[in-house]
Amino acid sequence: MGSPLKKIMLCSSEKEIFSVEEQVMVQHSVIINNMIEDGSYNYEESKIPLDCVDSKTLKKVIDYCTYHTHHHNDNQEDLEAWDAQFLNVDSNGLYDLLMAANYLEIRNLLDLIYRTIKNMIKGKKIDEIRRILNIKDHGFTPEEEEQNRKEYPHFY
Amino acid sequence: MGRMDLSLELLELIFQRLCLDDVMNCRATCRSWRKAADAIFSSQLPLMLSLSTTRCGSFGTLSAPWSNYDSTVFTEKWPREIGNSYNRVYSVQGWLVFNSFHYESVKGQTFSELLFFNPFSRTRFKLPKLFLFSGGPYYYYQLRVAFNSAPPGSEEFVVALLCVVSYQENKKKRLAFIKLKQGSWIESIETDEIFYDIQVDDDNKLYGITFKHETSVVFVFTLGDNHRDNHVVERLVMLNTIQDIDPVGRFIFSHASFKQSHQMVMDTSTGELLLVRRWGGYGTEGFSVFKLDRSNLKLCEVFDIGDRFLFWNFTKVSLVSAKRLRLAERFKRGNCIFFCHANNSYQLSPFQFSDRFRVHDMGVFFLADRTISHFSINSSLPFSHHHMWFSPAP
Repeated sequence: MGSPLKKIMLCSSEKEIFSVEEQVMVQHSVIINNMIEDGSYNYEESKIPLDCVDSKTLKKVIDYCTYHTHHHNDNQEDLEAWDAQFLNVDSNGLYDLLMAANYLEIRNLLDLIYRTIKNMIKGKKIDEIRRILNIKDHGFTPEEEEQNRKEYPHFY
Repeated sequence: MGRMDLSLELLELIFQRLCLDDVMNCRATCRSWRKAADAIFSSQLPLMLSLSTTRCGSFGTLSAPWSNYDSTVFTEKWPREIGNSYNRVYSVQGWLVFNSFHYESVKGQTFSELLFFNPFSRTRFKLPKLFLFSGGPYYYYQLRVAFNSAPPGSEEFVVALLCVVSYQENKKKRLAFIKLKQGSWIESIETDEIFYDIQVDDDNKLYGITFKHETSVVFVFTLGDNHRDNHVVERLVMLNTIQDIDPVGRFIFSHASFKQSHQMVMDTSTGELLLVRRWGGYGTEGFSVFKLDRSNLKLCEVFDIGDRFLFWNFTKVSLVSAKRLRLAERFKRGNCIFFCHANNSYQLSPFQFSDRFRVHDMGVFFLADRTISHFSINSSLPFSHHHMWFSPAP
């Protein structure tokens, strides 16, 4: 674990640099923790390049990690309320967060997103799911779609 | 999916958290979801399929009894081809196999017909009907079906069928193989033995087990195309016989009890032939597993089956490798036997039938410490005469 005052640099796909408290990222991201532990991060020069994470998403990820580092003693209800507010984004925003959390291996954020998607899908009709998750091309042939309607009548 | 193509891996992680019902529905959302949902279904332990007792309404329910009864219902109706007349259902590689007997009164002949049905893809095919016996209709006494591990419907796929019927104190038996290549039953074996169970290995040898003079005998038959005579290639008389005393010292041997408490299973990847023995009456008390040791002509008890699972019900025991499966922690090491016994009228007399609690006998037996963990009964599970293990292969 690094000292609380140390900062590390993260670089988004737009090459924007974000300076974050080291412990915030180390505590949450398995990848960054590994980088720091194996000494491959040079505090003077290194910037961790996150080519598949844009600035907007990276900022959100950092917000999440920062909040959860400083508020981990809060009561569960408050944290859940904060999480719900945090994930109040459109489907594209949610996908971006999912990819970023997956790339950085931020497990509790991943779990949170999975749970959210799960709740979005659960018990929904197919057209709703496609609309909510912005699935424009389902890739089925008309015949297959017809078959689906027969096979899952309750789902349409 | 908009600008977002979730990788299969990520989708699977999401679907793992869904209940079976929602995963099932996700199959219809889009193609990549279907792929991920199907991967979920095929990377888990076989599920318990409870077939509906009525031919109307849904087909049946798939559930994972070890995980709080996560379940899904096949809402599609039964295929028309499956009448009320089927008498046994088996599962093989994602297919359900229904056997039915037909008595054709004009010819005075009895036939058997096997229908293969995949409840996910809804595809189905029938094997040509097999002539069993002149006369009938018979009371059937015993029916066993065995398959090799080739994909069902392929040219290499082989089915063996053992059928014993009784008619006015006479027992008739029939042992037959089918290969789809020829599109008809290519071989049947004349034998005087009454076998308790049969298995087929991937060299298309057929193993039949019987008991003579309280000694178990395994007959090995070849399944070649041109061996009309002299099918028996080996007759393996076991030098030991398995104990006929149950753990509390009751003498249990009888043909009827042997038939119900012993089943064979072939590990086609290793060629091992296992004999699985169930202890208990209507409630399962445990299992013993024996391996056929061909060089020493013994049935040796094995206490560890490694990273494999056995799935037992009264019509079939199947073997599943733990490799590449997503497993809960307590099943990670394999080496256990799952069992589910339906409230199946074939096994139970009417007065036991009312006793639903005892009849729902399902759980897992851990070979390592020989303990049983029973699965609880979910009240939402529909009443069914057929519980069976089923690995969906959409």
